[in-house]
Amino acid sequence: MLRVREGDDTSFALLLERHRGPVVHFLYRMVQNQAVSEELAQEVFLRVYRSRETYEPTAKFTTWLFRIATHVALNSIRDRKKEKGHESLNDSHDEMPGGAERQVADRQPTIEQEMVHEVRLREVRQAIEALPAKQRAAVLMHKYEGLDYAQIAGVLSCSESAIKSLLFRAYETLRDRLAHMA
Amino acid sequence: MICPNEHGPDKHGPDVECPDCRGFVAVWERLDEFAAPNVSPGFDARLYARIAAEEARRPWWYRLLWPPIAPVVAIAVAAVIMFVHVPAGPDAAKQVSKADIEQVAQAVDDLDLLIPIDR
Repeated sequence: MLRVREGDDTSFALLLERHRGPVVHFLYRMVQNQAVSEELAQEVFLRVYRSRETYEPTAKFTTWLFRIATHVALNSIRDRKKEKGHESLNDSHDEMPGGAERQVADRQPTIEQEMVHEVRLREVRQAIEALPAKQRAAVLMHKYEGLDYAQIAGVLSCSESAIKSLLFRAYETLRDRLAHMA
Repeated sequence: MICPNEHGPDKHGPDVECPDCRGFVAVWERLDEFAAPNVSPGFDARLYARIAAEEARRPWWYRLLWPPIAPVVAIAVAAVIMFVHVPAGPDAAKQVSKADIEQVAQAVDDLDLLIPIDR
């Protein structure tokens, strides 16, 4: 990022290459809509580009990047709630299956297996979506993006102990909601 | 951490002994099912187009303040200011020299006046 600040466009391309996937995936799991998540990710990288001149490495770059991503995601969720009341994003069910690269075995799954998988996936998505936004962000960063407690604490401006407690509550809620799937 | 016994599901294999951890490991595995789609191929192109559009909207003077070239601009501006003020320099020096000469001359005159008194 420091090289980007000095006007090195190649470094920005490298930075984009390295962080594009994690940011888009994080945002996708936050808002559960591919088009919206990519639009938000564009906003994140635009903000990074705009901030290159004033960037100071006070925290790890990933922490700073996910702080922007979380901020953008939470704003989007808040705005959508205002716009659509409590309409669930999961209703756009046709959007997900085609877009997601599903990890399946070599053999072709049967229709029944496919349906079971769809149901389980929907339940996982609904369970995550039902978490309070901050807990959701913390779980997604912890589980899927591999951020450690200190980094998540930096992103959400909390203490590490608060993050541990937040994550514990979130996983406990998920365990209760998904217990029947075990 | 995730487990009240300070264990984490990511730190365990399939043979987890702690019952609380077993529950969390099951959740952890369920969450693996939530895969994210690949990023669209045109993502970078769209981003660079937006950056280019934003750059084009910036006023010309803003680019002069861009940090990498700001020192060069500052030096150039300083040089111009110095160039503008340099002609005033010799006159000022002359004025100072003239004042010094007058002051010395006055001191010599005063000394001439004082010498006869001492005698």
